[in-house]
Order: sequence, then C-alpha cells, then structure tokens
Amino acid sequence: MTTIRKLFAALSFTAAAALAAPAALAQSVVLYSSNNPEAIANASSALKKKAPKVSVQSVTGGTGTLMKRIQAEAANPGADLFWSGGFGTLAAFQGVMEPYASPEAKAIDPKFIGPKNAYVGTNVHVMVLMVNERQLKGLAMPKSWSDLMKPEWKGKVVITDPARSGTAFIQVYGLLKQFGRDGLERIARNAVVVQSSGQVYKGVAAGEFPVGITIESSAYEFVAGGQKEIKLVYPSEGTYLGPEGMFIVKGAKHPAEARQFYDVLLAKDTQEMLLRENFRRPTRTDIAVSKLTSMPDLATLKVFPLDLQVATDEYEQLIALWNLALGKAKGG
Amino acid sequence: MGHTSTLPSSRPRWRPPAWLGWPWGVLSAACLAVLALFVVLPIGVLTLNSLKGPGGAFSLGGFAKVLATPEYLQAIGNTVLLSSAVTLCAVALGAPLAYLVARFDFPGKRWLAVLPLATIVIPEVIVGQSWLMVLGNNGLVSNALRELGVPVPSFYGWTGLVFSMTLVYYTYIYLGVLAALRGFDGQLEEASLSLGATPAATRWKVLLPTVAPAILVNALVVFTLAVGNFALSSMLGGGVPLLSVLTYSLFVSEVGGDPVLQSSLSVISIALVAGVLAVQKWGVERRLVHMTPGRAPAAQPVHSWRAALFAALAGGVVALSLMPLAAVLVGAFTEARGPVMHWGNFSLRSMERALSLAPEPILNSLLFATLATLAGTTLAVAVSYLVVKRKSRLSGALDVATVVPLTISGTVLGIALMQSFNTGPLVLTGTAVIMVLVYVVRRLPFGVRNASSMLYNIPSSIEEASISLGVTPLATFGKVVLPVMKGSILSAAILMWATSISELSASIVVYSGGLETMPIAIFRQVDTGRLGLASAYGTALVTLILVPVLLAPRLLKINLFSLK
Repeated sequence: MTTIRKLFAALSFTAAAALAAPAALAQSVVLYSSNNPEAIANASSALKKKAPKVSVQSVTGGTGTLMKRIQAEAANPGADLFWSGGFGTLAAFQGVMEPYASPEAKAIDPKFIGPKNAYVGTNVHVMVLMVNERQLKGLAMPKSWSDLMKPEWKGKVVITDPARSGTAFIQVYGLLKQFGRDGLERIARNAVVVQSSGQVYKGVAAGEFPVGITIESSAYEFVAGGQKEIKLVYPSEGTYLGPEGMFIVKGAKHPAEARQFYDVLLAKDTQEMLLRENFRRPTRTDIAVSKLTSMPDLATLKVFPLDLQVATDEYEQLIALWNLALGKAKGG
Repeated sequence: MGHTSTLPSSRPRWRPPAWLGWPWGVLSAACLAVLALFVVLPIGVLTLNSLKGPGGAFSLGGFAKVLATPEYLQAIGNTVLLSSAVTLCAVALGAPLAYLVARFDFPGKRWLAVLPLATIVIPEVIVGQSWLMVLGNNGLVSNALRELGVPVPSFYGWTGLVFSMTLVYYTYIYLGVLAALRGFDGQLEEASLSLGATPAATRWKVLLPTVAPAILVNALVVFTLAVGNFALSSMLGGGVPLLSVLTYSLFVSEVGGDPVLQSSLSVISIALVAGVLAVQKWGVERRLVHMTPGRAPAAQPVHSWRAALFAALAGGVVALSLMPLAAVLVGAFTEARGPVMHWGNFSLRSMERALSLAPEPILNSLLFATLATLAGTTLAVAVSYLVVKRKSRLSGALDVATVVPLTISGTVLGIALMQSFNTGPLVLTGTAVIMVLVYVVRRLPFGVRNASSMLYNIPSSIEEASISLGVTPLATFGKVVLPVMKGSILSAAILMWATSISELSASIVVYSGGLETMPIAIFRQVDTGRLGLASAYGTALVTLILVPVLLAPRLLKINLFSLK
C-alpha cells in the first residue's frame, strides 16, 4: 500500500509540476498554419528573438481545413494568426480577417497585398516539374508542359487532385488557360492523380515516379538536401505563380501579439531566413533570391499570368472539366 | 384507505432500494454515470448525427451515400479483409512461438522475454516510420537491394500493412497462449497418451481445445485493434482505402461542416467490431472448454539441429520485432538535410534540434498520460471490484459499459467526443481534459481486465472476516483488498501509462493549440517527410517510455506482463 501511495504521490507531483509549467508562459499567440513544422519552428524562433516573452502555440493542418475551422470558431476564435494560404483561398474568406497595415508591408510588391490590407503575401510558390533522373530510364529530360503531353509519358507524371490542394488547383487552372481543354485532356491522359501534395514530391524523391508537377520550395528541399538525381525544371512556355499570404483573425484573443508576429514574419531577416532554410521565395522586393540560394530570381523566369480571383470563381467549373478529362482518359 | 391510516404518521424518509445502498450501490451508480457521460452519450450523439438529413430531420441519407460511393464500400471491405488477414497471421506467428517457448528449452530462449516490451510498448507511429526507413521506396534495405539489381516490390499497400501489423499484434496472441499453456494440466496429456492416442492426436484433441479460448479471446483483441489502427494504416496504406484513415480524412476536411458522413462511417466501424464481439460472446464462448489450471509439463531440452532451428526461428522473430527500435536509433543519429537522409554519415543535429523543440510535447505527453493513469487506474479498480465482488443490477450494467470502448476505434472515439463536447453545457474541446479523457476511455477495458483477473483469485472470505470484526466495508476495501491487489494495480498502471503516452489515433483528432503530444509531433514530421527529426523525436519518446517500464519491475518488485 505504501508503495502505491508513494508512486501515486510521485505521479501527482509530476502532473502538478507539468500543469504549472505552461501557466508561467502567460503571453502567447495561437498560430494556425499549413506550413511544415520546421518552417513554423523557424518563424517561432524569429519571434522569440524580437519578443522573448511571447510563446507560439501552433495548430497545423491543410489550408482548407484550417480556414473552415477559423470560420466555425468565428464566435469564439481559437486562432490569432493564420499563416499561410493561397491567395485564391484567402480571397474567399475575407469575412474572418482583421485588416492590418503593417509597417513592413512597404517593402512588399503591391500585387502581393490583399484588398484593404485584409491579408498580405508572405511568399510566392513557383510551379515546377520535379524530375528524378534515375527513373527517366531512357526518356529525355522534359523541358516544357507540352513535353509531358506526349504519349511516352503515360503513367509517368504524378499530380495532386486539384480538389484537394490549392497549389494543384493553380497548376491545373494554368494548364487549362494556357493550353485549353485539349491540353488538359492530354495531361490527364498521362497523369497519375494522388490525394495529397506530399505524395507528389515524396513519391518522386522515392523513385515511385520520374516526374511530378509540384511547387518549387518542396522540390528544392531534396536538391538542397543533397539528393543528386532530383532536378527542377521551370517549363519553357512559362510557369504559374501561387502567392501565399497570412492574416490576423477577426476577434483574435491576443491581437497585440498577433500584430507583432505579423511584423516579424514580414521583416527582411525573417524572409531571408525562411528563404535560406525553407526555400520560401519572398514577397519583399529587396531580397535577391539567386544570391542566397541556387534558385533563379523571379525576374528571370518566364511566367504565364493568372488571375487567381477569377480562378476561385471558376473553381467548380475547373474541377468538373478536370474530372471530365480524367474520365475521357480512362475511357480512351 | 384504512390500510394507509395504519401506517405511522411520521412517514419514513425515502430509503434507496438495496441495489442503490451505501457504499457499493452509490459507487456503482457513480461509476456508471461517468461511463454514461463519456462513453454512452458520445456514441449516442454520433448515432443521432449519422441519422440527420438536411435541416436536421431524420434521414438515412448518410448511410445511403456511404453505400452508393465505391470508395467507402471498398474501404469497409478492405478493413474487414485486412483485419482478418492480420488476425490470422498473428495467430500463425504467435501461437507456435508460445508453444515452442512453453514446451522446449533451446539456446537464447530467455531473449524472448523482451518481446512484449518491444512490441506493446513501442508506439505504432515509430514502428510505421521505421519500416518506411528500412523497406520503403527509398529505404535502406530496398535501396541496397536495388543497387544489387534485385527488383523490390512496393512496401506501400497490402504488403506493408499486413507485415507491420502482424509484427505488432502477434504479441497479444503469444502472451495469451503462453499463459494458457503454462496453466495447462499435463496429466490430461499423459492420460490421453496412456489410452493409446498418438502424440499428434493428443495435441489436436486435448491440447488445442484447452488453448483455444486464449487464442480466440486474443484474436478478437487483435481484430479490433487492426480495425481501429490509424498510425500504420495511414503511413503504409498507400493506395488501399481503409475505414479508419478515410474517417479521419473526412473529419479533418469537414470540421465545422456537415458531420453526417463522418458519423455514418463511424457508426459502421462501431457496428463492425460490435458484431464480431457479439459473435464471440454468444456463438463461440459457450462452446469452449473451461478447466482448472494444473501443473504444466516441464519444458524439454532440445539439442543439435532442432535446437539450432528453434533458436533461429525465435531469434528471427526477436530481431524483426526489435528492428523498428534499431532503425529509429540509427535514424536519429544519421545526418539529415531536410527530407534527405544521408545514411552512413552520423550527426547529432537531428537530436539537438528535436530536444530544443521537444519540451512542450514531452511535458504534454507526461502530463496527460500521468493524469489519465491516475484517473483510469482508480476507475478500473473500482469498476472491477464492483463487477467481480459486489454483483448487483448496477454492476451488471457497469460490466457491459466497460466493454463498449473496445468497439470504438480511436478515430471514432475522437470524433464522438468532439461532437459531444464542442458546444452545449459541457465544453471540453481545446482543454487538456479532453486529451486525458481519450486516454482513459481507450485504456479502460484493458485496465479492468487486468484488475478483474487478479480479483477473481482473492477469496471473499478475507473481506468477510474483516467486516465481521467491525471494520466498515469501505475501510476493509482499503485495508484488505487494495494491499493484496498492489502488484496488479501497479503493473496495470504502468502499462496504462506506457500505452497512453503512445496514443495517436484519438488524440490527433481532439488536440488543439498547445496540446500537442509526442506521437502527434512524430506523425507531423513523418507526414512532411522529415524522417531524421521524426527518428530523433522517436528516440526521445521511447527512452521516456522504457525508463519506467524497465525500472519499475525491479524497484517495485512486480511482474509487468504476468497478467496478460
């Protein structure tokens, strides 16, 4: 009996000690984020430097999931700050945002600032072809979107279901706008469709597929990590851009801390760190990407322009067209 | 009228019926109320939600949609197929291994003692992750084989699922059958042989029927665990749709949205396990042979090629079971640059990074598991005492209520609790309470089973003696029963602690900002392809679990796995 009492007393003490620990950190900011844990850790450490007393609590999930959650919690917000979601998605959720004109926003390219300062661009995704050279097995290195439409690529191009991922939506939308329904159908004929964007870059890196359509920052991690057979191709007809942004949640419980975090995330040193360590292409105009990484400067890339606001309005239509194209590909 | 007038005018206060008397009736009612609130009510809410149509009217639309969607039907079929395959494989591996260990002495046999440690205590997230590192598309062994020109089939999908789950769950069969074989009366076998039956016929007709209950009961546990498995299913499932993963992804994509579909899938998963439980209870259990334990025949020493063969078989199983631990340790100290592992180059960076990030999830895990162990052990001991020693109408209901959590997979429990305690009079979401709650509910059936098996062996006469000496029933419980149960309570508590700290499937559904635990952190790292960091976290978590599990039996002089 005494042993049990001692053990339970010890356990209770541990529990009490653990309970007391978080209570000491009174100042906190709740971040809802679709970013990977490393990027979140880097962002948190940047905040820690400028505001040592503020602790970051993060909840992670897909952008869509978190946006719906913020909407559902509108009466009693759990989040203070959301970082980061595609502009197309953000435009549709302006009702849950608290506009904020950050002093740091002056250095941001105005096309990456949301209407009435509701949200601001933190980074820009560039769509690329991620190639695993070892898996090409005799096929020539693809150079363009049209290369992937050739019959020899059947079953060799992996792409995320545009209904499940914001960046995949931009990829498919861009293909439709640039190459029409015919181009979309030819890509669909060759494509292997997966349910999450992680399956694309992890699958190509692991050698399951020779080519994947994905975002630069995810693919570049493997190049930077030293996996020699991985190459990035910026399609010669022009790539598509997917700016991502953040916003302060309306009715946030820690508004001052949220604004502080917002400023920190836009600051030059943070954006440079996130570029160097997480390969996030910055929205600031005063950072030279090619000096800090081996990724090309945005100005040197050929870009096919897309209006993401219009893209969001045409969402249902695009998904329907894509599924039709996939159905045709299966039938033929 | 005249009848009532004969009663004394000072009408007696309302007296509770005997089954609600102090102390046991009241305690039973209290335990039952707790279970009703946290187990029965959430299932009720879930079921109601699954039957809601647009506008809240009664509708079977959710189920109709499930039945009309090929992906869902496939997931149900796959789940049944996978769980059956895993159960069969686990029996095929666990039962013969137990037979070898119970009946023969061969070199290296004592190493088998580490098996339950290796498989029951190592969190499934770590098992899944380490098999990926070894046999995944970019795994150590698969790459090595590919270099040699050997074609390597994909580990994702059925191969990986059946392989990894079998290697986790066979331990339940092994421990159960081993206990049964050790309690088997050797005289029965001798009798059969002396009556002229061949050794083979004896094994078939005498040994098998007496071991069968142990196999069946534990096979059922394996089946329910496989149905509810989330960590391995989502990590290794590849293109195979499974109920638990699909329910989870419906939940994460439907937060704040229409919960009908996720509720319908959840109800189907509960019905699936409940159905199998019912078949076991009423179809199989009554036909089983029950016998009193006797003296088991001594293990025979084996020599030469048979010794080598047995040792190799057992050694192979031990090596395979310990592989995840080894892979995680190596991974934690291997150089990782972003998602790319540089095998053969060692580095402390992942460990440093993990330890600088880990304090919060480690503290959370410790806190939640410890609170859950305190609450869960108390509840389990109270419930099993009431059920075993204080039989009444209420304790009968308690007995049934504690089995219910077995039918609920972790994902489904998480969803049910979120639906029940997100709004309304009792809001628990976003608090530590809901994390503790999922741990307690998930481990309760196992805790009750451990405590009851001990209680059956305590004769009621010692309590009666104490009570007849004038000690109150409650004090008797504290002074007589608890001290006798000490060992079993402690080992149940330690197992509850260790398994709670590795819980993922329900906690990942209910967690929110600031409540992240170690398994959730590991799952997130694996999800984004950071195997190096995930291994470092895994090493920290395994250390955290193994220290008390290895030290406690020595310090407290208890036998952790004797009760299984």
